[in-house]
Amino acid sequence: MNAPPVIVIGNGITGITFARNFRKKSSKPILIISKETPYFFSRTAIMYVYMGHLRWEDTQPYENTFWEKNKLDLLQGTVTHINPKEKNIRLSDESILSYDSLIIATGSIPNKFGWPGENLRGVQGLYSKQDLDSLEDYSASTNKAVIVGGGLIGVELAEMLHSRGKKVIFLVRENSFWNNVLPKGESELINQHILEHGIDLRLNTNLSEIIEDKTGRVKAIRTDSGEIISCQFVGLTVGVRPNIDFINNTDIATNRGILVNKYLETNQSSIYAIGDCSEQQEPQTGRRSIEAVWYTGRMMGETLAQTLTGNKKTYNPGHWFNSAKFFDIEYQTYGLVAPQPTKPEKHFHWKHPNKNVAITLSYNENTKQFLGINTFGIRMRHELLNKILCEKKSVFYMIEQLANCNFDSEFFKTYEEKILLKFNQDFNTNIKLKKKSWKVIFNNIIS
Amino acid sequence: MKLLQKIGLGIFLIGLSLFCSLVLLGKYKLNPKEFQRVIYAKGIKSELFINSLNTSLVGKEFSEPFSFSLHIITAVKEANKIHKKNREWGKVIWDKPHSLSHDVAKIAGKGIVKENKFLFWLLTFGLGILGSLLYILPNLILLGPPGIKNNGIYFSSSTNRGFLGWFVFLFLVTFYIVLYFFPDYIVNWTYIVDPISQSISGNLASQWFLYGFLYCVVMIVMAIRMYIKYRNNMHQILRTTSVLFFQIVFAFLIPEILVRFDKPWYDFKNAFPLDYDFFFSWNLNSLISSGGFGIFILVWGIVLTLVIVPVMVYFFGKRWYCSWVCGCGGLAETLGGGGNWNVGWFTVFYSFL
Repeated sequence: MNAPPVIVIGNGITGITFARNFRKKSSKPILIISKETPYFFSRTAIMYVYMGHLRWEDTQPYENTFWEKNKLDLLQGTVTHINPKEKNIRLSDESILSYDSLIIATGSIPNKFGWPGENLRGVQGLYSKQDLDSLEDYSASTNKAVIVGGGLIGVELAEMLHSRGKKVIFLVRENSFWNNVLPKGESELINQHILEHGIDLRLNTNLSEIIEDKTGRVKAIRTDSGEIISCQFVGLTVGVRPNIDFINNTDIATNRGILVNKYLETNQSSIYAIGDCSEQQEPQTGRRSIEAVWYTGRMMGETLAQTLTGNKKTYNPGHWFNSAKFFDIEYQTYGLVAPQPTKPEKHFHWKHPNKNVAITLSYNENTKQFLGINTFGIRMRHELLNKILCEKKSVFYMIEQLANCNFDSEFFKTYEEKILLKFNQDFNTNIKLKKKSWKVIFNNIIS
Repeated sequence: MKLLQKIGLGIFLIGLSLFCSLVLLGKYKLNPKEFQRVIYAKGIKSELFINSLNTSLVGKEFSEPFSFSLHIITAVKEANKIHKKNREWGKVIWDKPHSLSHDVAKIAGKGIVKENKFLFWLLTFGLGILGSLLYILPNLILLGPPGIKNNGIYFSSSTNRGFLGWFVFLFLVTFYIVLYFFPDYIVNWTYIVDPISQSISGNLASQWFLYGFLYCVVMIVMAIRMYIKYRNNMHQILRTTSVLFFQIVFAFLIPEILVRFDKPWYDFKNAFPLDYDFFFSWNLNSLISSGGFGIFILVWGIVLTLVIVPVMVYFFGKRWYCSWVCGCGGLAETLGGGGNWNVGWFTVFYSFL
């Protein structure tokens, strides 16, 4: 009988990154199981399928022949149970598969908070291929849509529906969009931009109830102020949680997610959990125990592939970074920028008087150490910023290096001089911008 | 705004239909004097050809170009067949039959189009440009704030290989076949750009002048569309300006002006092997016999192919030529307009390697 394979549950960025990196160093059999789609796709791109920028096949980063060529076996099926003692799993068709190691990378599922009517037809989150398909199904019969929850997926869904000519009402619990993450000035910039696109943004508004018509489909919602808003579609985008319901009756220890140590090991031998579904028992300082983003999933996949091919490694995500897009405004963040800085963190903020371009630098008030940066409408060079953060450079050094850190396309307008002017006024300094130098950039990236 | 676009589309389609129907307007009548001029200018020595046309064509009036052309083609073929059989090489007519027919038709064409060149320019090019602009300019408002504007590309019949896409494909293929192989059918199109050609090169317009002029007009109008689409992106705005500049100045104006000064027609940015006949013997002979300027073109063409293109590609990749200089890339990224990146044949292609 053949040796049991390494089984990966989930073919998202995390599971696939693990499998690819594992395959580079080992010829052991690998089986990747997904209930969602036959092939890996780029989850962050599904909005562009709905908007008509891409076809579904364009979201698949690898040719369909890639998997067989690299001996990565794919199986579309649903895992219903895990038996750590026997080292096997059961699928929904009752078949039993043995594993050599088991990697759980099942990602997230959209949150629901027990609202009346949350399971009606026309009410859904936006996460999976199935969500995209059902959104497409409801789309033709939707003129007016309500989105609940002011986060990254909420604003994406608003853009998607808006692009197909739907009237969008966007309910946000907070008094400004995403202000539990973004500092005040930036959050207000995004409020304005959402309104500019013709979205009916309702701040300080909660959902109370979803009302059904005779056919079991949503026909309206009621807000906490009692207002009834008629609609044919409701998008619930109030965050995600680890997708671990199927292992609740096993011995694998869980909290909100599957608990893992710094080697990404669960409490059961030969079982690992990576990506959105995992929860770090001892997260690095300044990092959360569950981080449901693309980049961390990828890093966990890379780390575990090293460990399982004989080079045992701890999960070390380094400095936080992320990127997103709010309609036409690109957003990037590196390091830590608190929404409301508490001592000793302090912020320097610059915003273009009439364009959607802004930047926030956070630093330590006492030591002047640079702590992090948010940019809107300016792209930054990740390697260089990561290096500046690792070397604990001062905010003065950072501002001086602004031109070298810029990663916009050639010929884009730059704003470094204007930013520096305000910085020098605020800090009463006379810092001069270091000219963009490819030598400095390449030296720093390579070293 | 949407209404304005619909009106614009309507005006454009009227202009396009008029342009197509020009082919069937007017009359063709070659009088004996004009025929003498053709025989002289072309150096035709075949009495068979001359006699044949004197009976079948000269002095007769034709209401469409096809039968007019057919008489000339038949006369050339039959005369050549006999001359070749009799080994009378000096009498064989070496011109391509449809090119000769084009030159004759250009002289023989009469009537409404030739007499109202400016009016018909307005009714075809003019309406086309006006309609297109009415369709394009409202996008300034309709597309919303500056940003990435690819919404619905894969839902549209024209941009996702739907009915409209195939229709345009067939239309363009037909246009190119007529342009390259049956120029004698479209002399009416060349009449309406005669005044422009005369003001630049001093000559009447050939089908190639018409093509170059049309190419420039299409690129300018559609570049306006791209300027609106790419409002958020200085890189794309400069790139669009660059391809536009190279098309209008290098591919269109400079070669035509060179002709005015009796120099060879040459597009200085057109590198071999794109300029596939650059090293053909007739081209080399013509360059060498054109004196210092011809030699300069010859040296420039070689340096462009062997030094400039490889060096630039080393530093910038092929994009510097395809998307910043080349006329083909220019048309693709203005008339076409981005979005259709994925050919999807790579697996098939690689399986042959």
